[in-house]
Amino acid sequence: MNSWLKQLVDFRGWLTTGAAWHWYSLTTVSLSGLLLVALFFLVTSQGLSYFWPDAVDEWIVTGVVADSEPTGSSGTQRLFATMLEQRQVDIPRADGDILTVRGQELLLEFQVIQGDTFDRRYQWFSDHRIVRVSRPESILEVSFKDGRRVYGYPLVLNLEQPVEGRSLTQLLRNNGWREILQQNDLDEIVDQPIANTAELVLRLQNGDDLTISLDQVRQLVFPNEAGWSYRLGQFLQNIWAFLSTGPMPDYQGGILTAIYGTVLLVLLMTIILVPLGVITAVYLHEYASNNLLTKILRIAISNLAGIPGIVYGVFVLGVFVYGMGAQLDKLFFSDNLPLPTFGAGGLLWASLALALLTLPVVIVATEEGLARVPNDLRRGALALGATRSEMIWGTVVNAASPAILTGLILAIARAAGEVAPLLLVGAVKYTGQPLIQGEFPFVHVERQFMHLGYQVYDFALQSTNAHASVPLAYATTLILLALVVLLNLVAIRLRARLRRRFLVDFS
Amino acid sequence: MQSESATQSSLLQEASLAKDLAAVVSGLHVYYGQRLALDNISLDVREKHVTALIGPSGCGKSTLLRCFNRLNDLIDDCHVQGQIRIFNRNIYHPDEDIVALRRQVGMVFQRPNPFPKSIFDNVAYGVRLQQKLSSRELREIVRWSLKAAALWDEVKDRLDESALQLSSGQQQRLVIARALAVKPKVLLLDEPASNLDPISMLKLEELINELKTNYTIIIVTHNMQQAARVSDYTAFIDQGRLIEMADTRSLFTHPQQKQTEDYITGRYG
Repeated sequence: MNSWLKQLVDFRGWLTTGAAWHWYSLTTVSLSGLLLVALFFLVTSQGLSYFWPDAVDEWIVTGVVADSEPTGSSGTQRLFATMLEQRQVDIPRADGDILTVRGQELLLEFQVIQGDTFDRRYQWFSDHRIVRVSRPESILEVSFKDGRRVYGYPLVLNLEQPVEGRSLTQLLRNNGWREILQQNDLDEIVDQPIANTAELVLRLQNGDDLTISLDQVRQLVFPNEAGWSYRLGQFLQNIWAFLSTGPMPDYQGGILTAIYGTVLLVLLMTIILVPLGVITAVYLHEYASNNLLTKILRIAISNLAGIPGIVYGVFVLGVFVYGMGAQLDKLFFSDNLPLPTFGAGGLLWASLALALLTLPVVIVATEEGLARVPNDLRRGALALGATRSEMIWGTVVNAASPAILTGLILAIARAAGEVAPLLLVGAVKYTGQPLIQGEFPFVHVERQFMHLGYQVYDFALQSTNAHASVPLAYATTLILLALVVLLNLVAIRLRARLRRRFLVDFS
Repeated sequence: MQSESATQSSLLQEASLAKDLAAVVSGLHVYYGQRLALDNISLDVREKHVTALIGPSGCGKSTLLRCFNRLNDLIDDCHVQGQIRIFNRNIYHPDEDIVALRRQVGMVFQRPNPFPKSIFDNVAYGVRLQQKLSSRELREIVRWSLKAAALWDEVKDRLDESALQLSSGQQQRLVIARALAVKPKVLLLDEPASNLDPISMLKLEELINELKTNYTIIIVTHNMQQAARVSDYTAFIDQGRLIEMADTRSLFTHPQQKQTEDYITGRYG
């Protein structure tokens, strides 16, 4: 009894020394650190694994495949497929008994071939339906320029001299076909047009032979090639292809359009945001007297930062898109009516929504920066005969510019990942109209746009084909994160340069 | 009252005539809200001489200094009664052009306050506000100002570098060069040496001695040795009143007032 009491007293002593707080803060710090690491790990591993080339095996299976009866002899079908998952399930016994046996199911990704179209499909196969699996090295993945993709065994390459068999795979493996094409281009001048007729004959999974004209081909890959350097090369090529191509049907293309959209959105937001925010903050801090009204204004501005993004979306939709945009259409774009020009969501309105959303951040940061500029600096400028505006814009704002950049960095970090308001004012799943064009007016701010954050949402939740799109969601998340980091790095570099140029940091 | 008229008459005698007076303060009252900060100050500042304002902290000497270029206007609840004439122009006249006044009356602050710009841009700042000059003319003015402030030799090779990388003594001379660049007639120095090391202080005092051949200088200082070294005339201010003003030698050797004597001999308070 006595010792128990003593322990209790000791525990209270431990609490009062403050050691408890030490441990408490240590725990929370490590917890948040752990969560961050987990987030980073998840996004990076899932995102990068999308680009890692999967092996494609030859499967001989029985039974119904993708709603069609077996076509091959002895009731089997051949599939060129990638195994994505395995799971243990209860499978009904073949004789129709109510009893089940414990068995394995495999999720395969394969293609259904109908003429020229190759549809990606996903299906679970119980393992007793699988007759044979092999991984032939010579399976070739042909990516077309229009985004289609097909697997098969290369049979013949029709050049001047048809190439067959082992030397053909060797030739294609080294990506020699590009060089062959180029060489044939030369021959074309001298001799006869061969390059355009350079053809590859491919034996598909259903046994048909497909003749492919090589000038329609974007890429030839041997997915089962064992060499690490080859696979790493494919991995990097996949990343580059993802970054440098636009959207294509069936989740095949890349996200270049969305990257454009996101970057343009943030740039346009910055152009709207910085003047508005800085001028407001300068008025509040330098011109306005510190009375009740400005205090209320300040509180209101700080509170604006807490309003959910979707509210800004609704506000911009109601006031600017339906109100101002419709009026603009009537005044300047009446030729196109009833098709809206500015009267529908677009890049301009979306960046306006983001600018309003992040305005408080810039105002507060700028005001803090202005407050850190010593009053001696203001007096010094005035004593030299500067007017008030010369003093503010020529000296004080310059000195506060690193703080303004800090505000902008925070604003970009928030805006680049914000999706909610964009849902209402112009972000779309797919658009064929480019934002940037070679002719006047070059940038179409009234057009709808694709956005990385919106793409993630779409891939993750709105897709009809989750197997194909969820890995894309991770990959896109990875790119979005990288882009936000990149934009921030640019702003941080800029701030460092300003600090050097104005040679001071009062903070 | 009696002392005031006595010092003034002696000053006028020395100055022989009012025409070589740079500034004349008469009946100046300054209020901060309800508080009376300066009480009926009247004094004369002789052209191309150094006038020192001394007194204990909070006595109002800096307030008086800031009246000469109307920098007190920045303080919201500050208002001024009475008159200051600088070169026979009443600077508190409602139509007075304050910007023009401040170009004529330069000021150097207690703490050096170079702008976060390069050395060159600091000196050129005031000039650029006034007029558009060719870069050659501007360079000439900057060179001249830095030479006049005895800083040229130390910075001539690094005019593009940060003004904030200079030592505080150099910064203070840079600020003086900046003030000289706009060609003022009067220079106000507000405890310019209080944050400097002894060597920088000595350099600054030498500079003040050189400058007074061309400029009228009014300096606020709480360092009485310094006042004695650099100034020609000294005014002692206490609790917002002008107690005594005379030429420096006689004020320090034969103070007329008991308060002044107590202060300069260190028995103050």
